[in-house]
Amino acid sequence: MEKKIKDIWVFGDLRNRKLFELYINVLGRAKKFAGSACGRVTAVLIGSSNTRLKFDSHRETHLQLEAAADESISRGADYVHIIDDSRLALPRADSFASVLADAVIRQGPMLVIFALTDFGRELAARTAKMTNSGLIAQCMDLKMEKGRVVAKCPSSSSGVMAEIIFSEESRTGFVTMQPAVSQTPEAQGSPGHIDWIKADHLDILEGPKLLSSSPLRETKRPLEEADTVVVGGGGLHNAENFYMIRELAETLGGEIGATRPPVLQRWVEEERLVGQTGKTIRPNLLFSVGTSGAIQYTSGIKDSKVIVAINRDKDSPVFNIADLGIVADAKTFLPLLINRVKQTMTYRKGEH
Amino acid sequence: MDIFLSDKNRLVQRIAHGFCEREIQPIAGKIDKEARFPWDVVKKMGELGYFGIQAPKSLGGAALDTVDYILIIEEISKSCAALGLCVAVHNSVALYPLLAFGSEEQKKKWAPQLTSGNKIGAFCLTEPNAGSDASGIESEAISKDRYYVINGSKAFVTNGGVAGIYLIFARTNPNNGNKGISVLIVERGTPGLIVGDLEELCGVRANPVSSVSLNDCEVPSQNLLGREGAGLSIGFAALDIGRIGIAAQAAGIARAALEEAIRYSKQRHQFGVPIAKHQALSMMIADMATRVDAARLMAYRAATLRDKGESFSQASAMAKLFSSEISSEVTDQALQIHGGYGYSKSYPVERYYRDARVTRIYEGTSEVHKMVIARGIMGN
Amino acid sequence: MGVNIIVCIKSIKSTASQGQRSFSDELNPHDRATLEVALRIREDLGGTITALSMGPETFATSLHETMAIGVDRGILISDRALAGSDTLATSHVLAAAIRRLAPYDLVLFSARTADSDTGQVGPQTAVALELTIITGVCSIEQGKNSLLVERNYDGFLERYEVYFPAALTIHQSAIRPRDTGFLRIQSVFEKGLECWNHTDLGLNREEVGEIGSSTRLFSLSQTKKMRGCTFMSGSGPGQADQLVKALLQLDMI
Repeated sequence: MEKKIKDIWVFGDLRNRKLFELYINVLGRAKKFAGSACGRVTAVLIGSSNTRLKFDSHRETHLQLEAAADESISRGADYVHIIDDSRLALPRADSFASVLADAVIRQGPMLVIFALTDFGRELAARTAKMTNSGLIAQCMDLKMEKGRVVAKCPSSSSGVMAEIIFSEESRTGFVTMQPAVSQTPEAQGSPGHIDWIKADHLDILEGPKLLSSSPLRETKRPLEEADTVVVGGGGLHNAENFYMIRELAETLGGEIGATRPPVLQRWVEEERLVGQTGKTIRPNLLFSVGTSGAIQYTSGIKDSKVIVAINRDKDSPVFNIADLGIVADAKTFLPLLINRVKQTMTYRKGEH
Repeated sequence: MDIFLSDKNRLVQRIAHGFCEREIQPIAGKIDKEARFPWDVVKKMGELGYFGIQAPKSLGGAALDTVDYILIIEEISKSCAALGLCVAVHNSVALYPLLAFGSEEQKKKWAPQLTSGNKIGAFCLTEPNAGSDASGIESEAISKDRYYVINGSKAFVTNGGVAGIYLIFARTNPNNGNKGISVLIVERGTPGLIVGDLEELCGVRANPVSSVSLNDCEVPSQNLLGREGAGLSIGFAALDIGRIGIAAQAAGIARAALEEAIRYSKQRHQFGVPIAKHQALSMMIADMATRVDAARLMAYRAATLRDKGESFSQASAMAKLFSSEISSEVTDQALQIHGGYGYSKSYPVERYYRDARVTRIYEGTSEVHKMVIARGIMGN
Repeated sequence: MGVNIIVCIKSIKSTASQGQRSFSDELNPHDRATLEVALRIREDLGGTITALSMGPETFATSLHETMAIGVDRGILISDRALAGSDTLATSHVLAAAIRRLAPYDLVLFSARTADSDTGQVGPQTAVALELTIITGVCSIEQGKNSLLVERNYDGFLERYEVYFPAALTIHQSAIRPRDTGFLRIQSVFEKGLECWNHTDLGLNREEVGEIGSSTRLFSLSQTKKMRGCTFMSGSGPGQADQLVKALLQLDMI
């Protein structure tokens, strides 16, 4: 049986450097998968090479098509498709989906992969629908099994991973992918051929009018951007004890987070809520103090680099996701920890 | 109990649960400590229909049934017994008598104010010298032309400190014994109606319980509720329903204590294991859970009998007796399970313990209930 | 006059907290904010709100709740053939149902659900209806004949002017939902829900459910402990010491 070369497309987000890096990350993961699947990776870039962008914020950060294509190749793409049209200057999920769907129908890649961003999500959803294809979301890992693509994703139940496949009749499968926490080593793609594609069948609906677009100030998302977060739960029992969470966070130069009970009891503002109905955070260091470990909460913190859990109950499920565990009553342990940290930091300051 | 509930009941329960968890739970400890009536939450509850649960739509009520009513009272009481008491008393012994015995004009005049929660209702029967012996009340209402002049003093009026409408039980006929007592509706602000100081209580502290005095208080004859002499039968009819509410309140308090005890016993380790694994404790929890379950089912049965139009006095007396008695037992056990922490105000258990205690006393003491139940069985 | 608003809601498995009875299916908490948006628009412009949900019969409880919150009509799309639907099939069914409710002005979805985070159904349904959609809306204002909406899109604060008919997915930070009360409950159950199946929508079996889906569940597996937890031994000061040492070693402090 002839081994057909499988085309794996990865959508390239050119809106700014940060989003581009997320795409490159996913490109690396696609490359790794392609290696095991006898496939090749094609970056798909959409935009306009000769139109001036309307909004200042866009102009300042948007990458140039050709430069992005070159960079994609040097960082892993074997091929690049560029869809270049003046009507595609402004990144819009509806117009991009239209031309992408057209290209997918004509060329029939095995997979089209998007980094899990707001835009990636929406573009993937639209394009999959327009091509009547399946879409697997939040993929953590891809593999080939018995000639089929198998995607590993979190399921709605706690502690359970689902493996999802595309149906037999599927021609092209769509996947949104979590950027990897650990960096995959980058290598030049080959042969590094760039294709310029015409934008046919460009249907732009009488769409919504974009009135303005400005980059959000970084300070607006302190919890999501913090390196260190201390999360307090119901196990702290009252607002006075919860104050120690603030102290620990301050001492470490981090932010405070909370699970539902402290928010319900008004010991802390709702903006601090972490978990499914609150914020998802990925700090370097996370303390989980007096929290139960329920999935509605842990799903919001599980990608933290190092998790320290402090809980009275040694069988608490929170220890299943922790790297370092302390079985102790937070009320008595926190003051000791805060002191010790303070001592250490003063000592280190003295060292420098 | 879930198996007996209709979809509507379950929706009512879910809605009540959500509101109580979000709005009442966070403040319950504080208002108990401060003995403060939470007007802001109460106003919200008024807008949502908590103060007209079974009243007809035409009068601003939610037109729900008695089962819905007890589910609501239980959920509120689980978060805060004092508020549960306020809502129960307002609905069952203040609003209900007006709806059941009032004239069309009276209902039109006062019901909308009550169902919206703009005015809270209070039931004034007990006096310093007349508690269990209701017929021993000494307050008088003398008919003068188109007025009644009321004199007397009332004790331990639930909601007394904040009520806008008081149902005053007084003698209109000094010679007719039980048949000489009538009910008069008196609005706050009526000259001669004096709301006394708030009682400082052991439990349900956020409920503004006070004395109420009447000094030559003049009210129009149109404020007579029902007929002259019908006072006690109105009062007892109201208390029959009030008891079901109290049964639900006590069950709610007990449930809260039980849940805390279960949580604590799973977390607390002694002798190398969670104390839940100690047999003495697990036996206790089994006992507590069974009693709480039984109390809820008894309240449910009494409510269902009423909704079906069947006689329910015995059932409601039994439910109130049982539920209040077990709530004291269960809260006591929950406190014991918590050990020293149970005795500390940093944990809610001691509040449940204090709140449960009064349920054996008001709306008929346990002793009175036993009399009533015995009479119902034996005849005479 | 007024606007005809359709809100697509979802139910999630509720968490049974210990000691309490479990409510088996409950309204997706994020949908409350979406419903609140619909209620406010109806307050301003008049009209009707219809809640739609595709799922098994147990999803009826959530629809009843939306009606208690203030929705005028609750429609459950339910039958055996619909089981196993992925978002492709779901959006196909929802689009058919929404077409049946035409003319409509606004279709609303929640940007996320509390149990999964796909955010796909909204855009896919909008594509099927050829309807403009703005996802992740976190603020809405009435314009002259339009809605002015804002969203945070990958770090860009975008502002759009949207004309009816349109679709929006609402981020739950957009608005604080009002408390639900009891005043409508009696009429909710007097009125009841409407129940549609796939033939009512003019669809064949092949278009819906598992057959109509393009993705399938292959397997489920329990995650092994992703991390190995190292416990600090001893007590109190000893544990604090050990912890700080460990964090220093990991270069975390």
